[in-house]
Amino acid sequence: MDALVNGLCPAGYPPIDVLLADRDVAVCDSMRALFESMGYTVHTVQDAAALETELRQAPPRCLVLAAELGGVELLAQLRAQGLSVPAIITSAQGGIPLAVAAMRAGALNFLEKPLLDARLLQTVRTALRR
Amino acid sequence: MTNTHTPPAPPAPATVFVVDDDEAVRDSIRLLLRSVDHQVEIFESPLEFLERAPAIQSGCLVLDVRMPVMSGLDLQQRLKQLGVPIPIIFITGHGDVPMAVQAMQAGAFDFLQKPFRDQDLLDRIGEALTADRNRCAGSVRQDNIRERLKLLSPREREVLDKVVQGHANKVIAADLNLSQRTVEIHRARVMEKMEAHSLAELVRMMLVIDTDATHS
Repeated sequence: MDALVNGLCPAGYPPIDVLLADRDVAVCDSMRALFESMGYTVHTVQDAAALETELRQAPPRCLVLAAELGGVELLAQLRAQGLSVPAIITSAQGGIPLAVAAMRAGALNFLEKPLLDARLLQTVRTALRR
Repeated sequence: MTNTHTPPAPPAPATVFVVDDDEAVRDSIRLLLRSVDHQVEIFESPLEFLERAPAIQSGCLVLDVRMPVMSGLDLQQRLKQLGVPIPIIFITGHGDVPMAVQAMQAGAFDFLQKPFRDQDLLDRIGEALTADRNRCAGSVRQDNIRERLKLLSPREREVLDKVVQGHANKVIAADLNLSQRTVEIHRARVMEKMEAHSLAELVRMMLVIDTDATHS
């Protein structure tokens, strides 16, 4: 399990539960702690390039993507490539147009920051049930 | 080539349906849509629209979120239950993000905040009508394939299923206890009745029907 948590995913391991992509290291750390406390395996990345590498090497069971990292456009591209992993878009900007764009790009949900722990957990749990 | 199934009816002209309890909004949208030659039907309440809904063939719905008695989101659910697959563009002056997300999760085509620019609404309506036309074209094609399938004899249908599964004539003949020559004749008739010009086309037709079955 340690290998997974530290970002190494040797071939043959089951997919990690949650892949978090957010520029903000503090947000990543707190979300990681939250998910790990619930027994989920978590990877975090801070930029789009690292995210794409991660997705190629070890597709997760669920994606939590910050809109500020280009999450909406990235998701649209991933969907166009046929990747169906459930995705949640988060954003500090919020706003209806961004929420609608995220949903049209294929997000399962759109959450405004600051993220509420209970709401985030519930949303990820729904995603993992898919 | 025999072609005994009835041709599909010509598509009904696409209509933009509008449901809003605010008279000023109704009037301005009516003017806007007429100015670009859209066929328009306007309703004051969701209940009024529900009476019309089952007869709708194609179009899109511009729907206010907040209305007395029944909200736009409630109407969306009712339409889903009734199996009316019309694309919905929500418009609202009091929306928030969770409401927009809920509408989109329930399958809305779009969600616009008032005030919006006329051109934005027209653009979304154009996209929604295109999406709906494509959906209608798809279901007409499926109806056609189903009609053609009805022309097959039980034996021809068996041969079709085995051909689509990729079995060779020889194997099909052995399976069905027929001569290879008989299988060839059945197979030719299947191609003719299904109006398929190649095995690949025949397989595609059966896939289209399959996909539809899992969706409904």
